[in-house]
Order: sequence, then structure tokens, then C-alpha cells
Amino acid sequence: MRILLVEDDAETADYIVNGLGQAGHTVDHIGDGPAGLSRAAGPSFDVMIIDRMLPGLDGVSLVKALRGQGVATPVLFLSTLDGVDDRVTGLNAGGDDYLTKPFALAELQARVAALGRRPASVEAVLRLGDLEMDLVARTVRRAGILVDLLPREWQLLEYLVRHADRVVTRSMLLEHVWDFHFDPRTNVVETHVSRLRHKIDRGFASELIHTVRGTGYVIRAPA
Amino acid sequence: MRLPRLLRTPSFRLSLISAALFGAAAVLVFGVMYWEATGFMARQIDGSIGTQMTALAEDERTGGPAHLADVVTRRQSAPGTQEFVYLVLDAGGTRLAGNLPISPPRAGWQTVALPDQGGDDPDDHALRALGKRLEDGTFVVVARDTHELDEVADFMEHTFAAGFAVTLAVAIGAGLLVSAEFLRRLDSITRTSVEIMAGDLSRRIPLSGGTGDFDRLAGNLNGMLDRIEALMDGMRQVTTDIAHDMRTPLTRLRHRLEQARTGARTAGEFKAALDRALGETDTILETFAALLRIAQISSGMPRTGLSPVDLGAIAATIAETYGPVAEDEKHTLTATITDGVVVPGDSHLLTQMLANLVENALKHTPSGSAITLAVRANEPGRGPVLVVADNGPGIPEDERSKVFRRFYRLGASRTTPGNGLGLSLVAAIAERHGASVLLEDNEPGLRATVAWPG
Repeated sequence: MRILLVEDDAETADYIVNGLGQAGHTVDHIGDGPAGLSRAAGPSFDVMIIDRMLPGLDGVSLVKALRGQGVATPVLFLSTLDGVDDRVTGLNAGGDDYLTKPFALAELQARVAALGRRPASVEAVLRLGDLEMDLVARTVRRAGILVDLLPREWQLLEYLVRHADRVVTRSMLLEHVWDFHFDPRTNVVETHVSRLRHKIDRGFASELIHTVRGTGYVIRAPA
Repeated sequence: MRLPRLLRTPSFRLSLISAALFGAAAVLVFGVMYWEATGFMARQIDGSIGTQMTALAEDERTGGPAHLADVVTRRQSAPGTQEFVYLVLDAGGTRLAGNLPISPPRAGWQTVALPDQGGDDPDDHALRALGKRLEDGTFVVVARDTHELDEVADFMEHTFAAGFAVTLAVAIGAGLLVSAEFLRRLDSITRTSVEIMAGDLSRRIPLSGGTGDFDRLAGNLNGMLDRIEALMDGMRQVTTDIAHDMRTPLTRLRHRLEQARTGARTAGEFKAALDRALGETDTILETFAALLRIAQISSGMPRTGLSPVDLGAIAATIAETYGPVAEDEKHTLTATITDGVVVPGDSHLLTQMLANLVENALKHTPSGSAITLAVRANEPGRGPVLVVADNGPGIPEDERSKVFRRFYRLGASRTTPGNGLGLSLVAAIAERHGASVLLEDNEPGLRATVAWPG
């Protein structure tokens, strides 16, 4: 993917450029707000990573201006401000996701991947291998067999399937499935994923949900 | 140096102004009284002279000038009438009777000064006189000594002057006294604040035991100082705790890196050692994030930016989320929820608070414990209540207030994972919402109650 990074701290920028480069992305780095705005309005990027605090023009104003010009590229905000209010301000300004510094590279990669190439979700049925999610009837079948899911398990599976083949981190699941904006000190995500696996994968020939050690999970159709 | 300061105080200026106002009022009242009293006496004197004149004119009309002269001479020598002085002249201007030394006589009202009779004050001998030429040309003057009037006026003047002086002296004296008291209290506050500025935060302004404005001010200032001292102590405590509690994981991190450098032989060993070091770093960063979050929650203005939050819905989410976690650890988690309990709040923070309390119960109770979660509507005398209770080992009574302190960990939980910030965060969120957290004995176990005021 072609990624625009607007970040004034050189060290953080290096870390991101190298990290995303290793994952196969092309990253253009800009160090201040006004230059970032003119660059972002130019040739199109797949994802933009924008720091909240920038010299010249802060990140929130930058994204507001971009959205005003009709640029709809997904935006991930980076911030050292760890507060729900800040997150809400960022998302209201037109950001699509929000990541607080310091963060693990795997977390950033997962979130960038989740933002890129968002599939238009107009279909009524999500399919992955022999798994079928009927979004209207709210039923799930694996190899034609009806699987009974609790509401939270349904949300969890839907989020995974919509991000199929991409790594989804624990904190992404907590934020999007539970709307929890804190780090639980117990294995909440593991417990619920384990129960979902029990219903979706157990007794079937191949597993769909895979654990990515130390990072999160990925759902993918068997090869 | 002391007196000029005293005279510059606002209270002294106020007493001076009021003394001046009272003085002006007294002068006005005295002026009116003086004018009325002397006027009345003067009218009485004039009246008596007029009566005499009428009588004498009647005598002259019936008996002629000679008779008039007789009457006048008789009156002058009669006892009790010496206050009147007369003069009778015939048409040619020759004195017929009387001893008023006045010449040339004039008609009408006049004031006559007697020639010096050996006294020293000429005012004592001023006479009020009325001159009248009768029909046959005889000229009569009746005069009366006005010394009574002068004496009354003098008396009033002296009395007033003395009274005025005493009043003014008392007013200024009282002003000085009040100002001295004012300065004394002010000086005691100044002295205390200087001592506090010099670093002694335990100093307090002495109270006089009354209920006056100064005591109220001093009481409020002392209250403010108590709060500042508590905050400073808290800050010092937190700083010490951070320094102390961060040493352990940082030391561990250092050990791991040192071991990797000296002990690891293969790439796999290096990787494993670095992973452990990264894990240690994450722990440290999480602790800092938690500290920042507590600071952020505490520093926000209480009860601003809050919207209605359904406590029942939050409790249901927590019960549904943590139910499986509890089950896996052989605990039971049951929720009793009263519907429609709504408080103004921040739903993310309240979710985190409740999650923290439930996680505490999960972590600090043995396998098989029962955890209950309850949301109750207003009870008599208090508002909505959120309760998380367990039947585990509980917290000893003397430790219950300490567990809210940052980094405080009970002896038994020192070895379990955690940063000792969970309950501090709960307390900070509750305080932000104007609610209180109460830890009680659940007999057995711990009961944590978050109560909103009624």
C-alpha cells in the first residue's frame, strides 16, 4: 500500500517508515502540518497516518481540511494523548482509527492493514471458505451446519470475517467489538475467541481462526 | 512606623468618615435647636417690651406726659421690675423721666449698648429697646436687658462644643481600636503565610474562637491549606512510589538485557531474551499509561462533559463479558440489575471502573468463589448504587482505606500480576462522577459499593 505519514518526531517516523516498509508498504514521510496537507491533497494514498500534534497545523485541523476538500482516504491518528475525549475529537474530525503512543509495530501494521482497501459491505451474506454469515437472518453456517452464536460471539466473528486474511489485534477487538477503551487485566478476548473457536472450528476438518502469537488473531479460509 | 500604618487602614478611614457624618448631623441639629431657642427667647423679650409700651401709651393718653413720667419713675423704683429701663422725652426732646442713656432717640426696634459701667464685657450691657413717639409728641423708649438670652446662648454653645469634642474623640479612639484589631488579625494571617511560603506547610492561621468574618476567612484559608497540604503529601507519596515501584521492573529489564548480552549464544536465545525484555518494557509502559490515565481523570473538572449513562446496560455488558472469564476460572458471576438506573457520566470510564472491580474480585479470590454484581435504584437517603461483592478472603479493616493509594498492594497480592493502580483508578473515576467508593466486609469477602449522592 502507498501510505502517507505526517509526523514531526524523526525517531518515531523512522521507526514507522522502516516497520511498514518491511511489511511491504511504501511510506512517504512529511514532517509538518501545512506540507502534509498539500501532499495529502495531491496524488492519492491508500492510508494516511497523521500525528495529532504537528508544527504549523495540528492533525485534527489537517484532517478536517482534507475532508472538506473531499479527500476520503482512511486516516489513522497517532497521539500521546490517551483519553477517550481525545479519541472522540479525532474520530469526529474525520479520522477512521486512533492509536496511542507508544505502540507495538505489529499493532500499527494490523490497524493500517485493517484501514486499507475496505471492502464495500453491501452484501447480505459474508462468506469465508465453508463459513456463511447471513447478515439479514443473523445466522451462521459452517459446512451447511447451523451454528448457534451468542450476540457478542456474532459481533466478534463478523469483525474477524470483515478483516479476513488480516491480523486483528486484541486492542482492535476490544475497541470495535466491546467498545472497551482500556486494557483489561484478565484474558477477556482470549476467553471469548476460545469460545467462538469451539463453536466454529471444533469438529471441522480445518481451522479458520488462527492465533498470531503476541499480537492477535487472523481468520482465513483453508488453502 | 506603626501609627501611620494604623491610620492608613480601611477600618480607620471608615471610622473617620462616620465620625465626620455624625459630627455634621450633630452640628445641624444643634444649629436648629440654637436658632429656635434663641428666637423664642427674643420673641418673648420683644413681647414684654411691647406690653410695657402699650401700657405706658395708655397712661400717657389718660394722664398726659406728667402722669407718664410719674408712672415711669415709680416703675423704675418698684421691686421686680428692674429689668426694664425707660426713657420719656417731651416733644422738645427734654428728658421727663427714665434713665436710659440714649440720644438721639429713634423710633422702632433697636439694640442699645449701655456705656461702660465698669464691667469688662460690653455684650453684657446690650439692651433691646423700642422707641415710639406718642400722639402729642412725647417720645417713649422701653428697653430690656438681654443678658438672659446671651447666657442661654453661651451655655448652649459651650455644652455643644464640649459634647462635640468628646464624641469626636470617642469616634477616633474607637476607629483606632478597631483598626488595631484589624491590623492584628491581618498581621497574624500575613505572618502565617510568610511562614508557609518559607516552606512550613503545616502552619495554620490562629482562630479567635468567634464566628466573625475574620474567623470565617481564616477558617476557609486553613481549609484551603489543609487541601493543599494533602495534595502535596499525595504528590510526594506518588513521586516516591513511582520512583520505588519503577525500580523493580527497570532492574529486571536491565538483568534481562545483561543476560542476553553475556549469556545468549544462538539467535534463538537472543530473540527469546529480547522478547522477555520487550515484555518487561510493555509492563512499565502500561503502568505509566495507567498513572497518566488516573492523573487525567483526576485533573478533569468534576461533573463536566457528562451525559446520561444507563448503569444497568453497563453492568449487563460487564456481566456478559466477564461471565465466561469467571466460568473458566471456576468462579461464578451473577448480576442483579434494576432497569432504568441512569446517572450523568462518562460511559467509557464507568465501564472501566466496573470492569476493574470485577477483575479485582476475579484476581483476589480463590477458585470457586461467588462474585455478585448489582445495580440498584435510589434507596431512601441515597442515590443509585453499584455493588460488586465476593465471598473471598476480603480486605482487613485497617487496610481498606489504604488500597485506594497508588501502588498500594496487600501483602497477599504482592506476588500476583498487577500494578497496584486498579483501585486508585476506581476511586478517581468515582470522584469524577461525584460518587463515593466504600469497601465493606461482605461476611465473608469484600463488598465494594459505588454510591451516588441521593
